[in-house]
Amino acid sequence: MKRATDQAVKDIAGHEGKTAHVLYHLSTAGGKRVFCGKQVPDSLIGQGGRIHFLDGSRILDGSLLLGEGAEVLLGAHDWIEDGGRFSLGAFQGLSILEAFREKELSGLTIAINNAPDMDGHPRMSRMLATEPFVGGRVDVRVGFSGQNISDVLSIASFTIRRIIERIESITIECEGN
Amino acid sequence: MADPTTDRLSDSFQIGRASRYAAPEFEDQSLPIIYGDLTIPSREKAGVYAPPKIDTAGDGVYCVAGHEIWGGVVLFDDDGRIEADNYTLELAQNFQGRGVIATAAFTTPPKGRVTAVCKGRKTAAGGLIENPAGIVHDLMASVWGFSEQDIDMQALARAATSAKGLGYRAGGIILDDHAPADVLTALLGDFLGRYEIDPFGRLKIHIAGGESFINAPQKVLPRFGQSHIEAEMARDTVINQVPALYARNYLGARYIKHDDGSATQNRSSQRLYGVRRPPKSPLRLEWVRRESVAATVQSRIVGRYHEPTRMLTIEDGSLRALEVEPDDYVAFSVPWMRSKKLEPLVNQIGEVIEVNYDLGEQGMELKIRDTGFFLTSSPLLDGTRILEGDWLLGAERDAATYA
Repeated sequence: MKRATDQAVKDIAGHEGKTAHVLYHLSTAGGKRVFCGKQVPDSLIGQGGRIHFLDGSRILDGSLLLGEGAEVLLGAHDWIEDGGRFSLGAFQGLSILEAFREKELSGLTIAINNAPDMDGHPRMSRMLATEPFVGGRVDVRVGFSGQNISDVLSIASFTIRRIIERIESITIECEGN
Repeated sequence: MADPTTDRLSDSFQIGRASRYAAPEFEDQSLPIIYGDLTIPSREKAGVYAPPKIDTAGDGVYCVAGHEIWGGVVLFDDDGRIEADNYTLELAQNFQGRGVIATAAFTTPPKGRVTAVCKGRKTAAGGLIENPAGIVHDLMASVWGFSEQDIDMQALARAATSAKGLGYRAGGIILDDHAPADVLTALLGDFLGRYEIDPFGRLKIHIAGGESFINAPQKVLPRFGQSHIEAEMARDTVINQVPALYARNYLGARYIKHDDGSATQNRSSQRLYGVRRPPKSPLRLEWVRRESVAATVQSRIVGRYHEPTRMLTIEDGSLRALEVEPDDYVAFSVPWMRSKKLEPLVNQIGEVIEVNYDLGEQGMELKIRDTGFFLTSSPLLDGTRILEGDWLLGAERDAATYA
């Protein structure tokens, strides 16, 4: 897990005047999708791995593995209807970060809107048909408007154990890692 | 119609015991009912069951089976395999006028406990009964006292064909009083089969064959326009490795053979979902004795469950009679769902798991397992189509509406 930046710690401790964005990174064998409840600035999503543009700034002398560690970002979707919740019990930690990170999370349930896409097909149903969501991983991250990808804080990680598909919405049930 | 079959299947069947003879060693010992080839896997030091000593006179007479058997008898004592010269074998003997059994009368006394292997009951034509469906028929008609009218012979023949096609051969011993229902459940369950009592009170058995033309859908379901439909996929339905115990040793309630399932595991499924075994692992295959049969059962379970199963629940606010029952294959349509090729899920083939009617609320709930197969169209090659590579003959989904 990457270290939290000072800005991330400051934001999570008190974020008056800033909007918190909760991001659900769903990683499957088919790639990664980011789901959220409202449109998120691109600066908070980013793309993992080392992407290098062959714009003359690098010499291909064998020191570089092109595409190494790259993730495929299939899309970012503001279709979350209910992002689930978890409660904090008695907290004996030393820092504000531990309030999120050190809790043992038993599960999370997310509801995603399955409204028709431009072709009139329920959009999540199309994805479920071709991408192996079950068994995939959900990383819950929090970022704040005005910040960038390095300040996005990862607060929990889950594995998808069950999906219920209905015409109006998709329910994704996860268990804590 | 009265349904006596269900009650009789649940009634305890009293197995024959040594007490019926004049001078047994222990009166409570049961006369074993034996099916299949117990000589597999081969044994060097001891058998797999202990035949009761039913006559203590002289060097003793042992009941190898409580009925006529095919043969293949090998007896063991504390020193290992007993020379065949030491006993006289009768594969079918009306001993003391108490019915035909298989006996071994010793001419030289054995040392310690006698154990045995053999090949069990045979057909009227003399063949060893090994097909699981054949065993069900023999138990029903020749052991438990049911008649042919109590059995759905068509379903039995289909199950026998499925079992034969998959190379299933069963072997096992019944050693105690039992309800026939329990034996049927254990026997058929080992071969991914099951039984039910049909509306005519007949025993109807199923042994799942391959999902092929045999399971062509019996019915096209209507499109459930106003119904509540949902599909569920759960990681817990995935099984990608099946450890199994088989070849039961009846001397100590143990199993002779174990397989960890690594030969039949599905590695790509394990990479996606982790190693997932059946809830009660290892499987205890009481009626399986051969490695090849165990491997078939293991691979069929993995083949069917290595991906999460899409299970559809359709709740309809009517009491419409669909004329389907569990295990039927049907064609169904839920156009807003998608296939792996992103086609609308039309004329998809599913297996009926449950049909429930709620008489109070006047509603119906139908559970269907999506097989991944679908009805295909079959165009006539009458000159109306140009074969220019944009068509997969025989592999295109049939989008017609039939109901």
